[in-house]
Amino acid sequence: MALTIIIAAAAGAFATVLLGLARQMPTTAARLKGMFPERSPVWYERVDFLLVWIFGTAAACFIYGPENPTQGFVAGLGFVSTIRLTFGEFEGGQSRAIKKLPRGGRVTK
Amino acid sequence: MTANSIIAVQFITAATAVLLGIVYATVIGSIRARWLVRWLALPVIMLLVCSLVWGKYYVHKEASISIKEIQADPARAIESLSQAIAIDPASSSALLKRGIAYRKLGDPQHAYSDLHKALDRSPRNLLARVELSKATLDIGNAKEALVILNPVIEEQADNFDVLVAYGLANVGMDNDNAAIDYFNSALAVAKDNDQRFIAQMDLAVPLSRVRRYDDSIKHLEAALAIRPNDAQAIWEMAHAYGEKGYFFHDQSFHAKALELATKALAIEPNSVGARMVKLDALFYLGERSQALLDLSTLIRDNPNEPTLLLQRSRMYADQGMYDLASRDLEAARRIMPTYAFDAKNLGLLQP
Repeated sequence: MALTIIIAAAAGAFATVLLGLARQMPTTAARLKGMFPERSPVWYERVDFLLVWIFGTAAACFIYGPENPTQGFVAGLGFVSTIRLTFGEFEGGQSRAIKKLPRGGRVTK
Repeated sequence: MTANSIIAVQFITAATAVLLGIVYATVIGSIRARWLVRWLALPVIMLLVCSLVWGKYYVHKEASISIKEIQADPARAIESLSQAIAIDPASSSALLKRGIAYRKLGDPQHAYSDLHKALDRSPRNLLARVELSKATLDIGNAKEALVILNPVIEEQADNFDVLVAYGLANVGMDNDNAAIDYFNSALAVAKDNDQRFIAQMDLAVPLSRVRRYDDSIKHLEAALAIRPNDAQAIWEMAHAYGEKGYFFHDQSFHAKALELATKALAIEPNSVGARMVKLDALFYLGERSQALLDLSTLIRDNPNEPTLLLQRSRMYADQGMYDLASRDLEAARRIMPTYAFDAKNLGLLQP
């Protein structure tokens, strides 16, 4: 039963990435570029996917502690976004809030 | 669809999704292959979601079994609820119902385990708390039963089930006068004849233990007015007469006990309680060796019934066989540690 819960959490985490549920969120690619420079874009994308998938599943299983496959799947769905928001950053180091500001910057009186 | 097929579908679809994830990581460089994996994974994930929803529905359906249905056929209830728990081990309602079924079936250890899990998951569930306290009493831990009920006894002072359970826990702790108060309160708030019957029956036990035999018999008569052919009520009354006869050294009460126990056995021939009370009455009416022999046979057939051991220890003590009496009392206390009351009364063991 525990194996089913872990696999369900992994499937949930994969579904988040695959269905683009966590798109427009920061990725770990920018950090990876700093740590491992001069690799191919595919390498960064693959490692980002694996990191988010594995750590999302692990966080879902060990931090949340699901007790049935449904809880595991939903935790997997949610923790991928948590991992992305915690460890990821936008390309160029911008935070999401700054990126969302309208053109022209802040309005000052 | 059975529980096993739901579990199998959940496992296979989730494992397939994980395999597709590994494939996705491998072919991540090729846009065409990525799209292919996405389109393959989509129905798999949809199927997984459907099987998870179906599992939830299955558990909900099985866990919605009523208490009356459980009491009518506890073995069948345990079977179906076990399947629901195999799908969702965290379902507090399924655990609660299976715990109730185990109690009904006479398996207090499993009942305690299930009800403990149910209460852990739903600490505000009053039924789980009450049933857990009863299961805790069944395994002989009256102190823990009181601790379980303490948080709710004040705010649920007019709740029949809580009052009865608290009274039973007090009986287990030898707090007979407190138990009488709680059972009286339960009787006062009883809504129907079923509840009144339970309260009258429970009230008779501590009253008999504090030697208010007439009050005990009066409550049992009230219980029998509600259910005239209830074998347990009849043999409980026989027991009260037997205790009265033992205390006052009056053979006529033992004769009355024998008559009532025979009547109870006519209704329920396999009742261990009725057989025990009948043997007790026969013992004090003079058929000592035969009664002891028959009681030993009864103990051999029901080795985990401490009341029988207790009864035999008293018979041994009455015949001056203190070593055997002490051995039986120790054995009874090993099964039910809350039997200090009787140990103190007999003066055979240190309290």
